[in-house]
Amino acid sequence: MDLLYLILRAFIQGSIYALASIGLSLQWGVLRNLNFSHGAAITFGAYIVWFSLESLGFTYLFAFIAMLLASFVLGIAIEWLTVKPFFAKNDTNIFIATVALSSIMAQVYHIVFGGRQKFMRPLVDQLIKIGPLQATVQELLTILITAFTLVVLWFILQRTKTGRSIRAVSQDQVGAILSGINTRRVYSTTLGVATMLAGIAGMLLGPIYFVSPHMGESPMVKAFIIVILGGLGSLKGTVIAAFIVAMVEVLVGRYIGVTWAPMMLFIIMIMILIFRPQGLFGVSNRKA
Amino acid sequence: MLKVDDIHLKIGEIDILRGLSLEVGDNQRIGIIGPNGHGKSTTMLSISGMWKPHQGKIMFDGVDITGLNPQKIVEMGIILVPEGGHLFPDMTIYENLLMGAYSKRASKKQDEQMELVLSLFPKLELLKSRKANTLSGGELRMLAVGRGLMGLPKLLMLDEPTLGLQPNLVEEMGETLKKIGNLGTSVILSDENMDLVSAFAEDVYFIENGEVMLSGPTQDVLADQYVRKTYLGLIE
Amino acid sequence: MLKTTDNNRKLLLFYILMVLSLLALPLFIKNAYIMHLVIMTCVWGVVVNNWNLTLGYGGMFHIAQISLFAVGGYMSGIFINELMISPWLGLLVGGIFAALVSLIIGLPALRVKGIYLILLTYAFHYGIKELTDHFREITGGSMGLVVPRFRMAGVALQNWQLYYVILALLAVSVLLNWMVVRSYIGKALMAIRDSDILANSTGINPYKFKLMTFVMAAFVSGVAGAFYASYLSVIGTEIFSFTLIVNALGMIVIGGMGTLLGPMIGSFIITFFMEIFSGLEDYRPILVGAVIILVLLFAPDGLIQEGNKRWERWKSRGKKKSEELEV
Repeated sequence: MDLLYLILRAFIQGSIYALASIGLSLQWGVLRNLNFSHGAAITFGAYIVWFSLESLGFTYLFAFIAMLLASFVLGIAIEWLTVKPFFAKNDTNIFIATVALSSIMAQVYHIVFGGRQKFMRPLVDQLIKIGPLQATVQELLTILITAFTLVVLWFILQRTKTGRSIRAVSQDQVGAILSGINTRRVYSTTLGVATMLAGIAGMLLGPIYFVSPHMGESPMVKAFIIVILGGLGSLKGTVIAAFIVAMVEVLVGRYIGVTWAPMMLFIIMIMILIFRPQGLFGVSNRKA
Repeated sequence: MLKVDDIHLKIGEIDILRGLSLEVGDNQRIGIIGPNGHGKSTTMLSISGMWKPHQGKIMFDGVDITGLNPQKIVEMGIILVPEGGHLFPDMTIYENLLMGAYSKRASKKQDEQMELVLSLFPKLELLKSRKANTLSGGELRMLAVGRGLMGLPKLLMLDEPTLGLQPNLVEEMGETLKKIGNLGTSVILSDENMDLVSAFAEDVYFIENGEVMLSGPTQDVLADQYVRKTYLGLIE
Repeated sequence: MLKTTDNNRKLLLFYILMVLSLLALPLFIKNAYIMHLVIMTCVWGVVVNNWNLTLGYGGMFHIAQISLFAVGGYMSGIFINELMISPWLGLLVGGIFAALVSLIIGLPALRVKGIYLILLTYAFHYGIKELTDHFREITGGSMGLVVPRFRMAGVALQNWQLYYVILALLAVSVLLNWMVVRSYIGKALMAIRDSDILANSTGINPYKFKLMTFVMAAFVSGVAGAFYASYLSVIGTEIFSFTLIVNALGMIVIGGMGTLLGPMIGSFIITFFMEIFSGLEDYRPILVGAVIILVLLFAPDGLIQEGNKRWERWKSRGKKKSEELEV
């Protein structure tokens, strides 16, 4: 029964990880670059929701919508500032610019909201117990919201014109341009969507941990491990890897010791790089 | 309808195009031949806006399109089917075709055009929901040409559509080209296969060292001694 | 031809003057705190010098230089404390462990696409931090690890003496970098950085060269880390803070990525900048971050090069004008 409980915990943890990392994977697919400010984007989502709830007195639904809008705009701004000037010219500069930006953002949170941890109230404050299993309603909602978000994302990517253009660019850039796709717009849309996904992850992390200026960094480290494990650019792989990583963390934490989990993940990462560098579900390499 | 006037293009330090000019009339079928690496693909990529010539002019339907974004050029009805196809490997055939009709102009007539393309390529109709990365070489070429047609081209440019295909598939491509010729679109075809070009094109341009060395009616150009010697390798 | 030798002579003279003034520096600086800042400038100089070698010249995206620096510091400190070795030997221990660790990361990560190196080093950075917390009996955890200071003949060394130690390390580091950059390896690395395909077609084996450079840079950084720990007589987990990574990147970018001396000038600028603006505590990271992005946007070769370029342009414009006047 202990095991069943651990699986439940891994599922909760894994859903948040999936949300935190899928945006990174999406960006990698389209831009072939990584965005170091992704962690700061997670924090951003959490602060916007907290601020809307506590200071503006919004309901959760409105706070959620406000967060989505703000995150989308933030994503476009990130693209404009760190990707657009250097894209296809200097990848090193994109990397450095996003690192610098993430440091700026964390400090801005610190100045605006203060260094103290903020408590974000959960949507529903209740505990459910079924036999030996227990979880807060918030945690179960986390799983639901993640599932819902992933389905919506899947639908957008598969069934809408914008979604198809994102997939097209990530599969063949030249083919996409010659089909008349405005790649510039796809880049900013992708960053907008990825930042929204990060924001949702931040919103869900808020009530479980606390809201603080650097709260997004640790999930970002996990997200990096997850995208490597799942295969860069593979969304399916990313989601599965998120649950694997959560499972490893929970099991190692329970049976070996909490502080050993990061070490374990690092070893897994090295193993993956040695034996299966394309990840568990690596995708084909885009030409040019 | 298309007039390329004296375009020059440097890539890095190397002159790729050196004052190249060519003209395509309404409904005309043009062939481009010449040795590899002498500017055939680059000419088409320049017309598509993928490269920006630093000198010279490209006019289409009386509009100067030199240096326009590829996206705008596609919107105007110039469609390039690039060498190697550049298809979307993880999308189905149907989705690949849909992407071809991405432009505003083409998406309005997307359904009719889809019907037309699938009737041209009955094989694609059968494989509609298969992913592109599961197709054979010949099927991939069909799909690439089909995706190009989905863009409702006024001018369709085909870059090496038969490269690496088996003889029977080249023949099949010849049949397809004939049907495309009947659609009333202008076409520029660049191909290694002389039989294919001579059966298809009305006029041929022979490109060498980034310049047009010779142009004119297909039979005349292909009969030229210089062309036969340097390019076709025929010694008489 | 004549002009280049003339230029070379000028450059040589400049270098000699620079070395002499660096050697004579303790004579002029009487303020202990300024001396300390100068030493810290040199410490960070070594770190960014080597980070620049791998990132700027080698095109290896990674953020491990400070993690490796920390490994050097911690391992040296642990060996000094647990095995009673001398801090001088600790320098070597720090270097060796940093090199070993870099080998563990580099062996798998440098073989595949560049992106994996960032991911792995980022995870590594946090992994090391967690490990430091985990083994707090020997690392001191968040309290920090107390490390004995350098001694000679039983007497603790003064700061001006330690200045010469770190200056020597900095000189070795610069010299090594210069040799690597000038050598076949450096040429190959830059070719790889500019185009993997090109390098492959010329038969250069990027993996081997990248790994060699990466490990060498790690060794020197590890020694610097060991120096840092013994010099401050303490090393703590704040060494893993993200701010330090950003500051170090700032040093490289501001000084000029892919230039030999630029990063050290960057180190000087940032170290003293942080002191001068210490009153603006909360705003410093924002300033540094903003400066990094602005420099990337408007002076991507670094302030030194940009200044040089402007100066040349200004000079040649003056010349043109005078020529026009003559005509």
